[in-house]
Amino acid sequence: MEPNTEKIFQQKIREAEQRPVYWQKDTLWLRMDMKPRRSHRHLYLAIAASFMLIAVTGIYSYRHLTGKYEALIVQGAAPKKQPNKLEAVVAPHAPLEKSIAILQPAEDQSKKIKPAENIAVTVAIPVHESIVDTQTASIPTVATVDSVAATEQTQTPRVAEEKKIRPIVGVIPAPEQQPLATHREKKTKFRILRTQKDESPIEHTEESKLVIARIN
Amino acid sequence: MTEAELIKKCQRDSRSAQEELYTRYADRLYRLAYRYIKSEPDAEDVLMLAFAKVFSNIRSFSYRGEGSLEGWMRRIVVNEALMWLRRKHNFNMTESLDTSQHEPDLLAYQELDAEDVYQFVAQLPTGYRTVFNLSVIEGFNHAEIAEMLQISENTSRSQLFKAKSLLKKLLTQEGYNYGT
Repeated sequence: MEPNTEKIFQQKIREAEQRPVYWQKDTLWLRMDMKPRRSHRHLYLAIAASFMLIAVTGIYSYRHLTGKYEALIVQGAAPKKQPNKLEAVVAPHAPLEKSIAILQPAEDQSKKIKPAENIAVTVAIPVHESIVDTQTASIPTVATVDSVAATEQTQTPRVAEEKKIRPIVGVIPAPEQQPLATHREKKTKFRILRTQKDESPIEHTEESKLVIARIN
Repeated sequence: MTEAELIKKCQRDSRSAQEELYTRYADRLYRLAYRYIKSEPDAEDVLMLAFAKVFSNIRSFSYRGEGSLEGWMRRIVVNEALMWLRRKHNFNMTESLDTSQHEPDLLAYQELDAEDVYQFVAQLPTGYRTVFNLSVIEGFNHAEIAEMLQISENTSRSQLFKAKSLLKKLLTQEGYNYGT
């Protein structure tokens, strides 16, 4: 085929391809639309990178804060916990009414307070006052008050207890030379080959001499 | 929207631009795929794969004037069609080249209608048709065709010669008289 003819063929085919043709054009577009448009590799990488960044930042800040807090503790400047008013120790010598007044919560908690009729209030009392005959109930230093005609918190106030750190005193015993495992003496000996070393020399006792003589 | 604007929008993954690109070129590219594949559902599959490649690789495409985009897309469609054909057809199954035969004179094809030419080409067997399409329509030389189809250059020449002979025979059967 001459180049000129090839050119004619090329033109005619291209011309034919320009003409509209009926085919499933819209269906194919819908099929393509169903498929993911582009690879989500970049998206995955971005998510992974942000995750890593958050994790690294979190770890760093946690360590930084922990270090600061430890430094504060070391310096003795750690923030002291303010005692809760409800947990305040009732003065032992104060009259009961006064001590109840002390036990009343702060103003901001007053809204949560519900009126109660029977409230048990535990009061810390000194030892010398608590050793009182139970029948002398008229003494104002009674440990338990059954009913108080006043607005009280339903929650029983706890007596604050100071935590005392006591040193653990103990005696560290000196390490003894103990065997790592219990060892039992071997009673029976199994030997496949008997060597000269294993053979015990015959003791020439009277008994053995008699036995040998009997054998011979 | 001009072609350059369309490309820029497609490079920004605009779905509407992608649809516009598809609407503009799908018919031509479908015909191109069909010329190679000769099966409507398979041609659609090939076209779908080709468009997926177009959309994913359009960022690397640099616009060089009117027609460059279509040329680039045509190459993608042809490559996809050849990949599909290579899976289904063995292009090495061919007869030896008979040099004693004269090349058919196809000058009479000038009088043929474009659609008829298209249909006649579509009737050729797969091997002949592929080489004919690549050589005569797309303009590749035998070395390039041999590389694309993983065949020897002689095989490519042989296939082209036989494709032309068969085309002439088909035209004669259909009543087209083009001289000797």
